[in-house]
Parts: sequence; C-alpha cells; structure tokens
Amino acid sequence: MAVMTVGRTIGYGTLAGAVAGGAGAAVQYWLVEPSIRAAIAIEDAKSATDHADHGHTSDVVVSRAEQVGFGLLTVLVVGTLIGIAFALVRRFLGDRVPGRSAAGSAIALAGLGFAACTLAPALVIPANPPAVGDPATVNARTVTYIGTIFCAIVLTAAVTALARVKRFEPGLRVVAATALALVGSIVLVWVIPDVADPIPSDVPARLIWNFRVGSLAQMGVMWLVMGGVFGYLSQAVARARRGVGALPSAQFASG
Amino acid sequence: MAHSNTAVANEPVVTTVLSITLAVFALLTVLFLLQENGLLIPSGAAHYLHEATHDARHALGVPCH
Repeated sequence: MAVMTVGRTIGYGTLAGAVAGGAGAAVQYWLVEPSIRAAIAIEDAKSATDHADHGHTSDVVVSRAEQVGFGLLTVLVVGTLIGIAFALVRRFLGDRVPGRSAAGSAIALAGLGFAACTLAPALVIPANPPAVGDPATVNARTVTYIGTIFCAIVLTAAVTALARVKRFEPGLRVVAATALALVGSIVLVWVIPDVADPIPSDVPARLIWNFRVGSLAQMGVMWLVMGGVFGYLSQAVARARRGVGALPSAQFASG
Repeated sequence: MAHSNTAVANEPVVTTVLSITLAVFALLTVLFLLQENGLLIPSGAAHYLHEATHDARHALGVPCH
C-alpha cells in the first residue's frame, strides 16, 4: 500500500475533514436545528413561568442567530480537526486497518470510527436537545460519555486485531472476532452505569426522537464523507505511485 | 525494534512523534471546543464559548448542561 508523506496526509485529512464538517453543518441546519428551536421554545416557556415576576433575558450572551451561525462554524472546525486526526491515525495504523485498497481502508476506518466514537456513546448516553439535562449530573454524564468512547475504541481495536491473527483459520478468525465483539458490547453496556437524565414530561417524545435521529444522521454523514473524500484522495496517490513503476503484485506483498 | 509491517515503521522517529503530537493536539482542541466549561479559561469566557458552540455541542451528542 502506498505511503503518503506526513504533509500530504495532513493536507488531505484537513480537506476531507473540512468537506465532512461542511456536510455535517448542512445536515445540522436542515435536520437538527428545527428540534433545537422547538426545545428552546419549551425551555423559554418554562423559564417564563418560573420567573414571571422579572424579565430573565438579561443573561443572554449570544443571540439565537449567532448561536446557529457559530454552531455551524463549530461543526466545520470540529470536522476539520477530526479529519486531521483521522488521517494521521490512518497513516500510523498502516495496513492494520482492514481493506484491500487505500479507498477501502479509509472507508473501513471511518466505519469503525463511527461505531466506536458515535454509535457506542449514542446507545449508552444518547444525545439530548436543550430543555433536557440536569446541570447537577453533567460531570457524571461527561465522564461516562468519554469513558464509553475510550472503551469502545479499545474493543474495536481488539476485534479488528483478532480478525487478522494469521495463526487462526479465516473461518475461526471470523467467529472469534464476532464473538469478542458481541460479548464485549454486552459487557460494556452492562458495566457502564446508566446516568442518562430523565426526559421532562413537557418535552414530547417525538421531539427527542427527531433530535436523536437527526444528530446520528449528522455524525454518520460526517464519518462517511470524511472516509470517502480521504479514501478518494489516497486512492489517487496509490494509483499515481503504481503508474510510476511499482510491480502490480506489490499490493499483495504486504497482505 | 520489533516493528510489524506497518507503513510508517521505517521513517524517522521525529516524524512519528510529530504526527502523534498533532493528532493529540487536534483531539484536545475538539475536547476544548465541545467540553470546556471553565476548567482552563475564566468562567465568563467559558460561558461565552459554551453559548457560542451550544448548538454544535447538542447536535454532536456531547453532554451539555
């Protein structure tokens, strides 16, 4: 598999991440913002009745319009930074990442990243819109969120490593990796404490559902676009290298 | 050194260290943007950062207030 220079890796990672961040911001604007808007309306109605005697708008430091704009900008920046980290991890792992081509490996790593960094925390401690969430429990939830991602990355790495242990028969490898993934997931779900906040009765279930589906769709699009763009770019490098004179069999030599 | 057949095994250590540092720095910046609530910067600035990144924090599924 062709190896890119660090500079090119960072450049391609930045580009892939920025495109993914742009796509994620678009999904956020169309799919997630309506739920956030509805949730803030509920929050405002609640605080209006709680503080009926005095206007409680003086503590607004960022206007709603700014919040939407800065929010989209944040997604773009986060996407770009994740793209850089993704590209460097992809390069560092080399052919330990499953996939026979540069493009296939990039998509595979993005898929594993989605499972470990997005799907796992979404199952253990799902995303919530404003109007849900008790400030008193935010530390426990944050620790659980980061801990879940960490454990899921360790499990994903172990499953992927087990799936390519050369000593085992391919059939055994598949069974062993699947079993580890299954048992590992069950253990994690069982061991990690359930610290998710209850949904207040004035927040409709439909709003929570739409928000969570929108949030998952947004992050799924970001991983997919990032893997796809980075894969496309690295495949172009691999093809150019092969054209310069590498043996056609070279790609199998490392497998 | 017992390197496996990893693609980056043969390059200078400096490059590898630089790559790891940059990757960690990128992830810590993400953590700062999405999780900072007054640990590293004054609470007023943290409050502003929280409010400015508020929609992204919720949409990206990070625990928030």
